[in-house]
Amino acid sequence: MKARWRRRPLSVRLALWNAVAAAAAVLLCVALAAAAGILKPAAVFQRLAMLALIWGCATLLFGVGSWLMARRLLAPLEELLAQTRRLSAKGLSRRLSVANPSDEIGQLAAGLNALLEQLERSFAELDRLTADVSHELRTPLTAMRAVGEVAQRERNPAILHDAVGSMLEEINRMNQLIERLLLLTRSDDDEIPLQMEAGLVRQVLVEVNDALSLVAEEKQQQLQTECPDHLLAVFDPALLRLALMNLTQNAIRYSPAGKPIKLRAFAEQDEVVVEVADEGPGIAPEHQQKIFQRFYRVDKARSRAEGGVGLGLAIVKWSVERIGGTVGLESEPGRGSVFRIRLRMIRS
Amino acid sequence: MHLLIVEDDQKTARALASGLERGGFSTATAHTGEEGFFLLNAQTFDLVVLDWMLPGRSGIEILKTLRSRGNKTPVLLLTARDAVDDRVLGLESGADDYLVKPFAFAELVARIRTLLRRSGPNEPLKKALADLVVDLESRRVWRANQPIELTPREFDLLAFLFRQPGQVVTRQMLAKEVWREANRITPLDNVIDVHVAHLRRKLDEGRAVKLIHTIRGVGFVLREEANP
Repeated sequence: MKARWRRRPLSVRLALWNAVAAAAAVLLCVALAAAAGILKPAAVFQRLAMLALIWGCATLLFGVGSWLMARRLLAPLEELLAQTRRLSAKGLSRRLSVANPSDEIGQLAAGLNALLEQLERSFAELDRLTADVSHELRTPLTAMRAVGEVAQRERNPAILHDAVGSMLEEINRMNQLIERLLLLTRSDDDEIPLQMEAGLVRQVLVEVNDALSLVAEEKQQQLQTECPDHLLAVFDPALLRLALMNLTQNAIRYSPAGKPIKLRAFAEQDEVVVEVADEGPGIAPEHQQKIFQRFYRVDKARSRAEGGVGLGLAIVKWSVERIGGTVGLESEPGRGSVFRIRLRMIRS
Repeated sequence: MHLLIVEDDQKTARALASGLERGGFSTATAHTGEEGFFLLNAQTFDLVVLDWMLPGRSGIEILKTLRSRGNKTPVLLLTARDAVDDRVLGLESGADDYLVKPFAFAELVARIRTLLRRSGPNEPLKKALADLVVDLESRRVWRANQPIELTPREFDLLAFLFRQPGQVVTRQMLAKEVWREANRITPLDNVIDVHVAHLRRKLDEGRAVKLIHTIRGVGFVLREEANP
């Protein structure tokens, strides 16, 4: 009974409720009038038919009136319902429209529209990511397949050995790609525990310099580090090092031999600025906004040949933002690039 | 040394078994949790390589039961899950070590040897291979009685290679053990390659017998090998 009642449309339920309420109210009025002596019982009995007619009419009138009014009020909601039914995961570009945006239903529509916008963006991002990942995985797979097919017909053990080595290299590359991607995916849910502490920025710079100075030397580049001794900031050392290692390796990778790479940190108002500056080819303005996106590449063929998987800067952005900082780029084609990390400073 | 491999993927299990047998171990293989548990009760093993995700009883359940019965056989847990919580759960359940799939076979062998060695005698402080002598205490190195100057990092690198002569060492192992980089995604491959190249130049350049070799796609190995 209850379930059947709940299945009725809101307008019908409202109409029935109001009709019952009206019937009860009329009966109550008659009873009160009789009790107060305004209406004599004899008169009531005399005009029973008349009263019953009035009672029935009032009930019907209220019922139908409420029903019409509810229909009218609920019409925009029904319209909204019809619009949402036409939506689908692929057709999220539509937005819901209502006649009156300021009433409750209008606000509901606005809320739904905001949700739709968010969903549309996430779905688009997901589509792009899936396409990018498939592409990035297909590249090493193609190489492995080609090497494997050639090796299968080979009899020379030295060449076979080399082919297996080459396939293992591609496997390592796929593995790295997946590991980095997993990190970024998990990071969206903030699943990675942070170890924030007040630390000397110099310490991290020295570590990065120690790790990479030999790599720079191999390219006849000089890695220069410049940082005040007592510059303190709040960060997770592993994440800051991760960001700086990526930025500095990029600088080494893309600048020509003989050019210096500068790792500098200094205080600026309430912030600690850590810069990685190179005198490489620079990055054109149209790429500067997008360069931190996953898999975005300025020069696709080249960066892949240099061993990148296209996630380095996405990881930089993620790790810096994770420790409450920001990362930006200032670059001019032909003059070089400066990547700038800003962190909250602690005054010692 | 008798090892038990509990791994449901037949291809992986077969590759592990044949690789480990070639490395001088004897192995038994189980493809399900129940089978593994049965074998563990029926035989004595020196070490168990246990996959986490198994059909039937999971690796963790087996491990917990094993430990609650007082069985102290070293267990190396294999898993595709590498979230920190999983790692902690694995170690808390009684695993002695933890390796995330996909792993390099060289690393598996190195970890198995480390686990088996834990109870063994201490390592000597002076080691030699061909005409190369390394003194781990004074951190000095000689080749053909000639002292060789190494940077601290180069020495650590050589000492690590010396821990398992003849065994392949991966870049990932070096990043973790020599560079102390816990974060698996910090890009260190170039850094390692450059240091190995420098070390090789100092040790092997101009000599008939080369000691440091690159195994393409895997890593590096320290062994005697005349230049062809």
